[in-house]
Amino acid sequence: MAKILIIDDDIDIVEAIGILLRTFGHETDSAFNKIEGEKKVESFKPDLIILDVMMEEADDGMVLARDLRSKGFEKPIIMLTSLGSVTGYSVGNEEGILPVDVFHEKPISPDQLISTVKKLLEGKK
Amino acid sequence: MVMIEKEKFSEEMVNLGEKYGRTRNALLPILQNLIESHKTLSDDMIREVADFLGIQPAEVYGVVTFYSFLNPEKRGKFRIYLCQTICCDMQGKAEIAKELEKELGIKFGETTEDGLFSLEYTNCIGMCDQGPALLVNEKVFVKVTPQMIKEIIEGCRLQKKEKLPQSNPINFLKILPDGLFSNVIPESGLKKALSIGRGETIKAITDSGLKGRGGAGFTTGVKWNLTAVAKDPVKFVVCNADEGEPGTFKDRVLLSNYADLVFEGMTIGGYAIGAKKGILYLRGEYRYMLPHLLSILEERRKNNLLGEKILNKEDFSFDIEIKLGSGAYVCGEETALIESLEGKRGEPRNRPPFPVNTGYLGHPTTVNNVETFLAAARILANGAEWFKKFGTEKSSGTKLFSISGNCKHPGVYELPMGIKVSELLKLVGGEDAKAVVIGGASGSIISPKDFERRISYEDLATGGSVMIFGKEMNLLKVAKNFMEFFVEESCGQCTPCRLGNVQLLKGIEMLQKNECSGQYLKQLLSLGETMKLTSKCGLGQSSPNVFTSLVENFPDEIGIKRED
Ligand SMILES: Cc1cc2nc3c(=O)[nH]c(=O)nc-3n(C[C@H](O)[C@H](O)[C@H](O)COP(=O)(O)O)c2cc1C
Ligand code: SF4
Ligand code: FES
Repeated sequence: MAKILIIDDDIDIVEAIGILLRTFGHETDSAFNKIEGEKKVESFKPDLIILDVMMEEADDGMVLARDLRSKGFEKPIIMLTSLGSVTGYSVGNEEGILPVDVFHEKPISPDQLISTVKKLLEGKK
Repeated sequence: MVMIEKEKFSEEMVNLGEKYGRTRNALLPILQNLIESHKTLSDDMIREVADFLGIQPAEVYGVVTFYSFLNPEKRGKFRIYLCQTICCDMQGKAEIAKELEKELGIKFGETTEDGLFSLEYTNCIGMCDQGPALLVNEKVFVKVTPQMIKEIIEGCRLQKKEKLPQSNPINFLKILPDGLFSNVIPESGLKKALSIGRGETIKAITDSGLKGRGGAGFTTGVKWNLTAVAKDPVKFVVCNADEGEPGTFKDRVLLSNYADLVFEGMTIGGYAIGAKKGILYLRGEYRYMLPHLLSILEERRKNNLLGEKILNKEDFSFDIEIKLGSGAYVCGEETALIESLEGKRGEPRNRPPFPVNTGYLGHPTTVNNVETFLAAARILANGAEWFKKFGTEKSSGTKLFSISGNCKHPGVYELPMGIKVSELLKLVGGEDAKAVVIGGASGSIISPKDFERRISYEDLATGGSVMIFGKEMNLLKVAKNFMEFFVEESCGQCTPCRLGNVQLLKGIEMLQKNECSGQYLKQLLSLGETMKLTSKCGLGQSSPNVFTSLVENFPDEIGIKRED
């Protein structure tokens, strides 16, 4: 099973996703903002990251994803966002401008999340 | 309109339709052309225009009456607009006004009987470092003297350009040796962006910490990121060149001397967010620059820097168009600007939704200031680290400051963010200042006790306007001048701003006449607080600033003590 880092400023989401992933046997850790997230990547060395877009800044998740990639982090990143529901607008990563593997609007169903995680972990192994 | 005129007019409309399209967003350019050729916009013309665009005459009328340069009343062949804002006032506006009235035999607001001249006041036209300034139609005259007035009027009467006095705007710019304009290799920023890709381009802007140079100081990287992920095949880049904040004229200098870098920055922005089209919204007062800017755009098209497959990049096409404002300060507010581009009254929108997802014509739009785009081009070329060498932690980079008022060397200065007011004053020969207004009419007025504070987003924020006032200056007069400006420029949509500014102006007049009680002053300050909290846009939220900071920092100038 894998080490998964959840970075989101919404504690409920962090807890819910954590419980779900641990039920499926994964080990999880969490961070609530960009700087903490960056540190946890170093210390926890996750196999996969679940990352929120809007934290202290409206684009913290995007900035963090790019920073991690440019520092050589190659493991899968799932980006979850409520950007669309906040702005009432359709958002996505069609042109591949973000170095993430999956870009998904919140809410994501537990089945969907688990299968996405599974696929990505297998794909990268 | 009689029959034959009507036919001629229809023909004119068809020509304009061909040039600007037959949609609502063509309304402003169509009206700008009509008023240019007819010197008026009659009810008949308004009906014809409405019919032509398939909208209601009332909508056209609403637009016509919103913009001061579209004033439908019959005006002279030569429309003279004299700047009435404080810096020109300090430099001898009153004498020029008198001379104009004497020479033309009319008062302000009137047109000569022969229909040749009309005389109006206007607000800051971005020549504050070389006032008094005026416009004759679109031509700018600076450092105007009574003698020049005679020559201007004579030249217009004879309709001979060569008889007009030579008086072109001076674009004084003092730069830092290793700053924004160092190491300029044409298009190096754009080439870099195209080679590293969209995500990395935005990353460079994010890493630089660049914040919007138009005044509000929003982080540019965030704006670009949010527009980039909006899922819409149509997106826009808009460059805000409305520069209407009294005492601000840096964008005029940038567009005069470095337009290529601004367009390069817009093109980089277009690439990063995924837009195919950019629009430069140029204030009507800067119309004299239009031929110059259009020729640069044409040159860029020839050099494959605009148009299809820019610099042979297969999937990148982008072009830039210029749209003119028509004399409304509030159109500098980004949502009002978008309304104006859409051919409407420039009334700020409610936010959210924000332009990054619902902007021009409902599409995701990045609106940035002229200087922000230029800085973006330079950051791509020289790197985020170079930019961060300057400034403070939260205010990186250098910034252009428009310096005017009582100082030896007014003009535009490039300085590192975080510079102390006292350092700046020394540099421009304004050490004797009794007061400095930072951030224009919507900024704040500070006294020498604050001259050790720093100009930055953490402390004294500004879009670049620094107005210096010497010992002789009556500061209530300054506050009154600004408040008159806001009364005139409020779009009137929301009550706190529409009525509040009028009350504050009356209050200042009472203070001048020594008729304001301490108790009433307290009420005025409370009104100012209410306006800051409840106005819909930045205009009403910041218009009380100079008044409230004057009361705070210069109790002696106010004449009475407020009753706390
Ligand atoms: C009344 C008002 C007038 C404004 N005028 C201008 C202006 O002339 N130029 C400008 O760039 N921004 C102006 N702004 C700020 C814009 O709304 C917007 O924040 C800016 O164009 C964004 O660009 P930036 O982030 O690059 O600064 C104005 C805002 C208000 C409320
Ligand atoms: S604050 Fe003033 S300018 Fe802004 S929307 Fe309200 S009335 Fe219009
Ligand atoms: S041009 Fe007159 S004050 Fe700016």
